Amino acid sequence: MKTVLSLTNVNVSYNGVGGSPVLHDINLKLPTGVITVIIGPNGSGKSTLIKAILKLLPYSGRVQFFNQPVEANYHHIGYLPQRFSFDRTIPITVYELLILSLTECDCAAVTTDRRERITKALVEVGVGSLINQPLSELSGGQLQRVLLAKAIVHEPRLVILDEPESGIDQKGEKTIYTLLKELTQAKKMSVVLVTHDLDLAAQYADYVVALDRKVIAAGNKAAVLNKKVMAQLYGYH
Amino acid sequence: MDTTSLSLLLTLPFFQRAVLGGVIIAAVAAYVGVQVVIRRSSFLGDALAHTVLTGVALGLWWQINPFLTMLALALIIGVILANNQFSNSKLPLDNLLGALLPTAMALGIVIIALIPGYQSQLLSYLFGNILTIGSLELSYLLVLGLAVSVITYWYRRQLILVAIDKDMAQTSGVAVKKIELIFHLVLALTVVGAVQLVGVVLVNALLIVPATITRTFARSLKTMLVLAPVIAVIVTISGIALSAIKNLPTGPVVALVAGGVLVLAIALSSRPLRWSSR
Repeated sequence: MKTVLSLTNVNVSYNGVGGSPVLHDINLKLPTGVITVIIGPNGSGKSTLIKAILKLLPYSGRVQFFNQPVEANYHHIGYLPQRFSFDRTIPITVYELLILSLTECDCAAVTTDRRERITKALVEVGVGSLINQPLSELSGGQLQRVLLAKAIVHEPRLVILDEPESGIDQKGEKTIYTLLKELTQAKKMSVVLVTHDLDLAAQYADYVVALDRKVIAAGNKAAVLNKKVMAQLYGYH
Repeated sequence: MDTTSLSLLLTLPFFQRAVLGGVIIAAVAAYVGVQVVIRRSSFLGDALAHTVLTGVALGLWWQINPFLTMLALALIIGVILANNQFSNSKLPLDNLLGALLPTAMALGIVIIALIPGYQSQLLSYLFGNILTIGSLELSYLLVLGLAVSVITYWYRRQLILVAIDKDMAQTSGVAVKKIELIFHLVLALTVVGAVQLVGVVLVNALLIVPATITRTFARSLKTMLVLAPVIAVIVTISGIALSAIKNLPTGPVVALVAGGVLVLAIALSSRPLRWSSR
């Protein structure tokens, strides 16, 4: 199977390269066209790993997207962080946010095409009617879905999500994970996501990475979601 | 002063220069101000403005046009801020800027005080005096306004996206470092222009107040970006006219009119500033 992301000797430290280590010697080859789920206890470095992959924080080692630097391929990657730092009281509509995120996307040069893409992405995540709503008037769950639409609006080859279920009820959670599954199956999109929810991981993951500042285990569900790895990861007996 | 006198005033070249210069700077400052507000960096313009007083002082000392030395210093500070040269400090940037701000301003005031014969000009740099700008200064303002307008239009989406969230901008493929540099240089140019109108102390009256007025009722970014400059221009023309009629200092009157409109906007807004976030 082809590799969408390869990480070689990746080390991340607090206060930049050379500080106290957060992630130690990460070596991974994540398969393409499937859902990869990263699990681990609080403070295990899951979100840090995502940020390192996206070059949002400094690291040593090498991260490649289809054997190319990630930073040259942002237009092929969608990202849903645990939380963006933007001020939600800014008067900005859902449409404006999504069209701004297509700024550097050469895949949608024509305005009408962009409008269609945005509408389609919002409908896919179940919030098509919110297109002209200001962000400040959205609930937490609606905002999370809008941000998921932002992550897929440019039809990326890889979507990276940090706890996509946060702020969403169980029904919404199922909608999102089902959509992600469809994206991998129908569009051959690759999905890498972080979650705390082991049930969701067991239900939807094709490939699992168990992380606790270093890679404890990586492989299919049977190889990772077993008693031995869980005991090592969470201290279960 | 009656309306006849005001009509007469409108025919006078110095007043025409003041209005034209004021309108250009007000519109540009309000547009850039929207980005400053979105960034939650209201302190940034103030810090730049207070620092450029030293540029004025150096110009007077070296007998170079103070506009040019102020511009040069503002651009240098802009580059320093864009490159986040303070990132190694343990102190947050707004804390650091707030602490350094009085020092930078005091340095300018002391230098001006040491130059014989220029103390009287200090007030016009502190509070602005657009009524005294000559043709040369007006041409500088025109070039400056045009440069800021072209740059901010060309990079409008990238500038806004970086202002909203840097991580979001970077993962959308925006060259964040380049846009940060452009923003800080544009802000530096804008502040230099605004100092001509409202002075070092009142720069935020042009930079922040119009954007804040618009924010009280706008439901979209487009509304905010279009209406903030319109409001700024109306406020500035009203302020300049009022100051001429009542023979009051122009900068403070413009700032007062802007502040008055802001208070009115907050009072009239059915949903005043939405402080809380869900």
